[in-house]
Amino acid sequence: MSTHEQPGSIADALRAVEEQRVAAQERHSARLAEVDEEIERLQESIQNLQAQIQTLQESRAQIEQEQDPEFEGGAELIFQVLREHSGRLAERAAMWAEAVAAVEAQKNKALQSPEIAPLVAEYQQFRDGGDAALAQLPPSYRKAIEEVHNKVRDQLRAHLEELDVTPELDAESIPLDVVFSSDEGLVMIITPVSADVYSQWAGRPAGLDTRIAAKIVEGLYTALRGTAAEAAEAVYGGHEGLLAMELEIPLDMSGFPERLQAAMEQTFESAVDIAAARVELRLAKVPVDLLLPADDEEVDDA
Amino acid sequence: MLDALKPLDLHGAALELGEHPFEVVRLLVMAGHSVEPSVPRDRIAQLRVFGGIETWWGSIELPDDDNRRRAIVRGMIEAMLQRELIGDRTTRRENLYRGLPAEDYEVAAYAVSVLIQLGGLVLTRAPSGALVSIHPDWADGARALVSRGQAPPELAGLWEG
Repeated sequence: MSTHEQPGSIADALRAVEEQRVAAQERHSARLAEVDEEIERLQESIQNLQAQIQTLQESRAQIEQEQDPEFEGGAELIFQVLREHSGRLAERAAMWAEAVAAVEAQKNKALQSPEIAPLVAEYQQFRDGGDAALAQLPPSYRKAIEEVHNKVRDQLRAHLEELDVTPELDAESIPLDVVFSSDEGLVMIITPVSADVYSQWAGRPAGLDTRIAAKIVEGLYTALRGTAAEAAEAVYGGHEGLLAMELEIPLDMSGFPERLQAAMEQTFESAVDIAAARVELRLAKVPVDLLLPADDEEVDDA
Repeated sequence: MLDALKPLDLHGAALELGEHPFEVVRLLVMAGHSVEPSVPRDRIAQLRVFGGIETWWGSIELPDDDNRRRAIVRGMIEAMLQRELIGDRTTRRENLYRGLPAEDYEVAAYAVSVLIQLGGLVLTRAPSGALVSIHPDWADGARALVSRGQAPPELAGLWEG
C-alpha cells in the first residue's frame, strides 16, 4: 500500500507519479553504482592477482634457468674427483716408470752374464755382416749357418722373455675411478688419464697411463664385440684435459650399460701389471648431466 | 740391437702398423686377443692381415700436377682405381693415407671425408675397421679426376689450402 496521500486531482496524481518515478530512478541508479563499485573492486583484485601470478611465473622461469648451474655444480664435483685421481695416476706412473727402468737395467746386466753374453755376441756378429757373407757361401753351408743363427736367436728370445718380469711396487694401493653414462644411444666415458695419452702419444712413452687407457678401450670394445654394434668406433678426445670417449650405439640396444660394466670389470681384473702398480681401477655409472661440460661443449677431438 | 727379438709395447705396435695405439687395441679385441703390456711380433703380422692394413704410399707415383694437394688426391684415387676398389671391393680407409707426410696426410684425409659426404666414396664399417670404396656411379668421375684433375667443386677449396 502506498503511504502517499490520496491525490485530490489528476494533476496531483501526475505530480505524485513523477516524484515516485524520480525516486525509483535514483534508487535504481544507486544500486547500479553499488554493483559497479563492487565490480571495479573485484577487477582491481583480479589485476593484483594477475600481477602476482606474473611475478610468480617470472620467479619460476628464473628457478628453471638456475637448474643447470646446480647440475654444473654436480659435474664439477665429479670432475674434481677425476682430476684428483688423475694427479694420483701421474705420481704412480712416475713410480712405475722407475720400477720398469730398474727391471730394464737388470735385464741389460743379465745380458752381459757369462751364460747369455756369448749368445748376444754371436747374434750381433751375424746381424752385422751375416747376410753379405752368407750370400757368398755355398747353399749347404749357408743353411747350416742359418740354422745355428736361428738356434741362437731362439735361445736369446727365450732369455729375454724370462728376464721380462713385471715389477711389483711396494706402495699403497690407489683407487682410480672411471665414469661412464649411457643415454639415448650415446655412451660417454671419462677417464682419469690425461688426454695427451691419446693426442700426443707419438711423443711420449707407453707408460702406466697408456696402459690404463688401453685397458679401458679394451673393456669398451669387449663389451661391443659380438653385438649388433661391434663395428662402431669410439671418438676420443679431451674433456677438461682428461681422456674422454664417446660411442654411439643403436637406440634399441638394451642392456649395454650392464654389458659394459661387466666387460670393464673383467678387463681391469685381468691386468696383472696394473695390479702390480698397486692401482685399483673402478667403473662408476653416473647420470649423463654430470658429465656434460658447463658450456655444453662437445668432446673435442684432441 | 736386440730390439728385433723383443716384443713391442703398444706404441711400438702402433708405429709398426701405422695405426693409432687405441686402434691397435680395438683390432686386438676384435681379433679375439687380450691386450697385454706387450704385443708379440707374430701378432703384429696377424693384426695386419685381420685389419687389412696396407701401405700404398711409397709406391704411388704422383701425377704431373702443379698443385701438390691435387696431385695427392689424384694419386690416391688412381691407387684405388688400379686396385679396382669399386662397389663391393673395399679397402681399409687409412690405407689411402698411411705413409704420407703429416701435411699430405691431412689433405688426403680431408678429401676422403668430402668425397664420402658427396657419395663418390662409400664408407662402411666392419669389426676390422672403416672400409671405403668408389661408388660405381662415380667411377667415371674418379677417372676424370685422375686423368684430367677434374674434381667436384667441393674440393676446389682444398687445392687453395
